[in-house]
This record gives sequence, structure tokens and C-alpha cells, in this order.
Amino acid sequence: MKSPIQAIKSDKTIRQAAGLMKSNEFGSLLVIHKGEVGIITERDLLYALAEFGENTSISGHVSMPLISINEEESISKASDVMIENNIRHLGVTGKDGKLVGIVNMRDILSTVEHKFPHLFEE
Amino acid sequence: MSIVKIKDKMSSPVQTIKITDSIRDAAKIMDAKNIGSLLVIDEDGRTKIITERDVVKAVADGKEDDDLQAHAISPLITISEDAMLGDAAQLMLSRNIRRLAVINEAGQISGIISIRDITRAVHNSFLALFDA
Repeated sequence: MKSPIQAIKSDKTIRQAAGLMKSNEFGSLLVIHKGEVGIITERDLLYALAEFGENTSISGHVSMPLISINEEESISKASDVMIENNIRHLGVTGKDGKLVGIVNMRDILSTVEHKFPHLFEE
Repeated sequence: MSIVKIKDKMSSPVQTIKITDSIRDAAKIMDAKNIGSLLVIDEDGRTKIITERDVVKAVADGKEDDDLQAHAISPLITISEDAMLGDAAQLMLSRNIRRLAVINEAGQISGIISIRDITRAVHNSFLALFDA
């Protein structure tokens, strides 16, 4: 899990979000939009560049609300939610329901590879 | 228990782009095809790769209208079609990448396997444990 998580305001441009992702070396950013929390990923930026250009606002390309999972849930459950929603990043909430980090598909695969290598056989 | 191999889970055929095309062109093809990487063929016929991460980095630097020469990555990190998913997972994790080019017996690139393909396969494998 990545924590703390970098956030960006929704009035910023595709280029500004790309800059923050590059400097942060992470494939997603939290986006604060009208008081709510969403997420924008590398894939979202790629599509926005292709269809609208680098100077467009990220506001139309944010996934809202952020799909999250509680930190007490299993890796299998996180994997399930990612596959079901066809996403690679999930918010992670603490006991009080507050966002504490982001877990990505690499984190899942890394855990499985270390702890459950037999799952690679069917 | 049958062993799941890379060739069972890879994406094929692979999508390509010319090295003289731009970052923006690459983004448009990835967008249209709903994929996160393209193989890049250079003037000498050698193969490189450009991924969504490379596109984002180029946009950050204001280089979206550059050709792919300075942005495509080589050498390709490859894996055999007949390798196991665990081998691909280890290679991705150790190299910090999300995609591998898949090579067939003839030494040609036959597909791309992504971290999403592997996670999905492993997840199905996990579920299968309960159906046995």
C-alpha cells in the first residue's frame, strides 16, 4: 500500500497531473472534486491526451467516487474488487472509514507471489 | 493439476507503431484499442516498447509531439510462451514493469502479457481451489 497519497485539485490540467505522477513515481493521484475524493490514473491521462489534448482539465476524466476497501480485508478480496471493476488501484480505508492509502495491482501480485506461490498453478 | 502457461493468458496479436510516429499518435492508438502498450518498430526493424507510463512522462515534460525515438524502451524484456505465470510475475516484480513481450519457439514476438492478465489468472486459480 502507498501512503500517504498525493492529491491534486480537479481544475488542474492533464499536463500538471502527468507532472505530479512523474515526480511522485506512482501511477495514480487522488483528486479532490467538489469536496469528494476521486482518482485519476495513467490510463485516464492517456485517454484524455488522445481525445482532448494536454491542456484540458482533468475534471472530466476523474473516476468518482474512489472505489475503496477496508485495510482489514484480505488480499483476495482486493484482487476480486479490482478484477470485477477492471481497475488496478483501490483506496484503502482504516477502522474509522478514513482513507489511509492506495493499494495497486503490483502490491497484490507481490503479496501473492511471496505468500501463495502455488496459486500460479491451476 | 494442469500448468497454466503464458500463451494461455497473453494478448495476441500485438499492436505496433512506427518509431517516427508521435507520443500523441501512440496515445490515440492505445485509446482506440483499449490497451496500455504498443510495440515500436524502428528503422532497422528492431522492436522496442512504449507504455502508458512512458506517455505520461512525456506529457509531463511537454514532449507529446516528439517522435518515439527518445521515449520507446529497449531492449524488450521477454518471456517464453511456454513459461509459467509465476515466472512472468517474478520478472515483472523484479524489473518493476507491468508488461512482457512473449516469444514463441521461432524466437518471434507472439503476444504481450500484462500484470492484469496475471492477476486475473491467479485470481481464477484461487477461486478454482474452492470448486475442486
